[in-house]
Amino acid sequence: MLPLITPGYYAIHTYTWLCIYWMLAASLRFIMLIGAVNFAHAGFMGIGAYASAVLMMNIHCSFWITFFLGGIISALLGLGFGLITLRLRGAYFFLVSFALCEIIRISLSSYWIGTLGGVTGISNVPQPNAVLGVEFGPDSLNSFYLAVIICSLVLISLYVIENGYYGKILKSISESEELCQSVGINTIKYKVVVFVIGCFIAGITGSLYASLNERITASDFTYSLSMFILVCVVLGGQEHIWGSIIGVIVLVIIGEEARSTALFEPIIWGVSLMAVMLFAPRGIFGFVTRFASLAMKRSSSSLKIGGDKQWLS
Amino acid sequence: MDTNWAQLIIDAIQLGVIYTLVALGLTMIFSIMNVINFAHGEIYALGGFATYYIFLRYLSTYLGGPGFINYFLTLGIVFLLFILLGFFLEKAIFRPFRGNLLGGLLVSVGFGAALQTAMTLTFGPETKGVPGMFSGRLVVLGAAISGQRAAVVVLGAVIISGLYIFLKKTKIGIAMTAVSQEKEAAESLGIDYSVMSSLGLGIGCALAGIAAVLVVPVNYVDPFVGHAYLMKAFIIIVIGGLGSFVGCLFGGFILGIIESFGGYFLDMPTSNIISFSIVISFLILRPKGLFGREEK
Amino acid sequence: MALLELKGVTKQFGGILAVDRIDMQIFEQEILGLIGPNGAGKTTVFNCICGRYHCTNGEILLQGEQISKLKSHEIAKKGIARTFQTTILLNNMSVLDNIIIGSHTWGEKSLALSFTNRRKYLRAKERAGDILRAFGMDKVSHMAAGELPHGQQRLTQIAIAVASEPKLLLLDEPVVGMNAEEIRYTMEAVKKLREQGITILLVEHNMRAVMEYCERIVVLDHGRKIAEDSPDKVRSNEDVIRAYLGAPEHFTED
Repeated sequence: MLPLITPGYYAIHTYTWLCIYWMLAASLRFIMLIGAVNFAHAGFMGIGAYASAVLMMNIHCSFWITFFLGGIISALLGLGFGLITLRLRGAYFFLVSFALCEIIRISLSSYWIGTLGGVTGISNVPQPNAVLGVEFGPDSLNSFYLAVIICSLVLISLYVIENGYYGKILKSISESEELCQSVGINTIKYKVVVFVIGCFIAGITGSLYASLNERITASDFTYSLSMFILVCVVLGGQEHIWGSIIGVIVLVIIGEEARSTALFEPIIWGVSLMAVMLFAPRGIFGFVTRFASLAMKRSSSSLKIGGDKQWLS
Repeated sequence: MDTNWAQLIIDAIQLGVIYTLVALGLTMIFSIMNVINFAHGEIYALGGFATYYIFLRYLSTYLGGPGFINYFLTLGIVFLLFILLGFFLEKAIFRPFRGNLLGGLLVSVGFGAALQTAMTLTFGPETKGVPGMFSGRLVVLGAAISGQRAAVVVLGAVIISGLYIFLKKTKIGIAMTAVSQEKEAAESLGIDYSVMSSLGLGIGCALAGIAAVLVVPVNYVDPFVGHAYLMKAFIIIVIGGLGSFVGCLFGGFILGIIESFGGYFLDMPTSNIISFSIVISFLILRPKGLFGREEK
Repeated sequence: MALLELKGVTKQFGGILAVDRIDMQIFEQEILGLIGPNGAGKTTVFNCICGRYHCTNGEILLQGEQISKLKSHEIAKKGIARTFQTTILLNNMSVLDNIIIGSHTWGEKSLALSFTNRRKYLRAKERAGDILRAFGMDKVSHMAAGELPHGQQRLTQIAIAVASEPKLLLLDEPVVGMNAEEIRYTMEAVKKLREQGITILLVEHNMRAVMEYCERIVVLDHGRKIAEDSPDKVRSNEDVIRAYLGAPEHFTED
């Protein structure tokens, strides 16, 4: 654990990766706010990564443009996919997103091999272009700062959206879509917008990852990654964005510790997940807040209907 | 080059039968507990290892070499063992998640990962196979099929028919069907939901296990084959409809055709994409699948 | 001109004909009752009007405008609000929040402009407070909706519907499970709503409430309209009595 605290290559490397995972977890959780478990989240990250890498290497686009283009392309795919599939019920949406993730993986590794690199993927993805004299070398401190800044912006934005008026509507839709429709809320529109935002963030995360990691293959973006992020979100606690942050930290720590025991990693992961689901389903955050005071004031429920007998004025 | 259509169709049927068995198990678990069991593939793999050890090691050692009787004994033992496994899993893990799709999914993911590692540690990561005992070749309408593969089709068909009869003709089976369609109504008729969900998971696991018993003599097994079969099961269930028996048959057949014909005329990645695209099309155009029911 | 008109509305579910060529009119600011034995098709008609189902045949016109093909949220925006037979609320949110959601118009801007909605949100919040006060529920405005007693939950549903500023309010068994005092209170509130300019369509099994508060009553049986008249005429209508004879308990007064 010590290397994580002392400055140095290892710490920077790990913290950079934490930022990537945080962005993925927060954006997946954002999509889950409207009741959709997006199993293709890693796939959308992959689309952003490949788009950014290909544009940088083939037409020498600056990273600062391909970064956003990666997000936009993912968002567009998300728009098309979401419009078609978001009206499906929970289990069906989950299955179809699973199918999409596989389609993305297969497409990225089997088609356009010249550009996309087939199974071996793309290597030597360029770093972000130097700006204002600031250079971004691989595993450099500047790259780390970049990741932190982008991650912070993403997390803050998501937090603000969720806790604003827009977020109130999202919360209502997840509580009862039918009630919302009956008062005129176009729930599909809201679901699609949320989904597109989530995909956009997954896309820019991919673009960032591509440059920071310097190489990408389709197998980086399988449903296993989606599942890992999903576990982070649930384990940390779905109720709050801090849950996703905590969840990533916990799982990455477990991963690091388990790596020393090599083979045992998945079993620790699996058993931890089962334990959380069975004993603390609201996740770590939920567990902690259970002891905090409840938010809602409770008045006595012996009030009769009619109360003060006031009529409509 | 002449295309041997009959061969392609026979291959399709053989693939379809196995995939259907696995899918039937998964859809049964979903119908009754409303949970997508992500560990279903690992249970299949476990069935494969069970076959290896029971058939090859114990029965062969103690009851004379691999042979018909031992094979059918293995089939029976695995069936019973896995029903018990399902009972156990339901009580130990899945009970709190009945009706909770996300929760059940995640706990089954955890369980699947743990099970896969446990299998790797216990049995080793190498692939294992079992010799087939049905020798010879049949020729059907110009298509050649090995005796073992023919056995897979025949035995698979027998099991599927048995399941159908169970669900339609026996009291317990009818009760299960009732629970899967209208849980509250069934409960008010006195059907014990807990018993039904244990049985549902039991039969679901047993189906996955038996599928492996059929496949291992023809193909291999290692701790990692689970996910591929899980995906096939997903595809079938989406095409055929979550919770539909006939839908699984249909979906299994269609998937068999796609893989058999696709593998022949196109390459594997493309035929995989076709499978998945059909899945997506179905989910868009006919989300309930061909025969599915409304999800609660 | 009628506020809402149903022309030959038919709804089929597979082989079952739930609603068979219904013609009906609802006039402005009236309270119209829709009754019939179980299975008569009342809720189906209801759901066709609100867009939850699309009718197999026939037309539904709101102030002359076709709404048969619209989705439920579009119909709600046109000014038709509804309550539900089962109590559907945002259980984990406060009663006040539930009513605020009812004023959907405040959230309609795109995401980018959601910050400018503050004014609209505050207005909606104020209005929600007014509605709660009028229903006598302002003391519970901060309670979680799911924790209210049953009667207040039913009232909350009506309040949510009212918050969307409807022209036509469809009430699906609003007083189910209430005691006599709660029923009277609710129905008086409904009457007051009418005086505010809202037209009411009421589906109810509670005959006393229907007879006392509805000016006109439409009776359905097996998907068909068998009577459309004032309460007294309906009460003595032979077809109606015959239809209910199969379910006498519904025709007694609570």
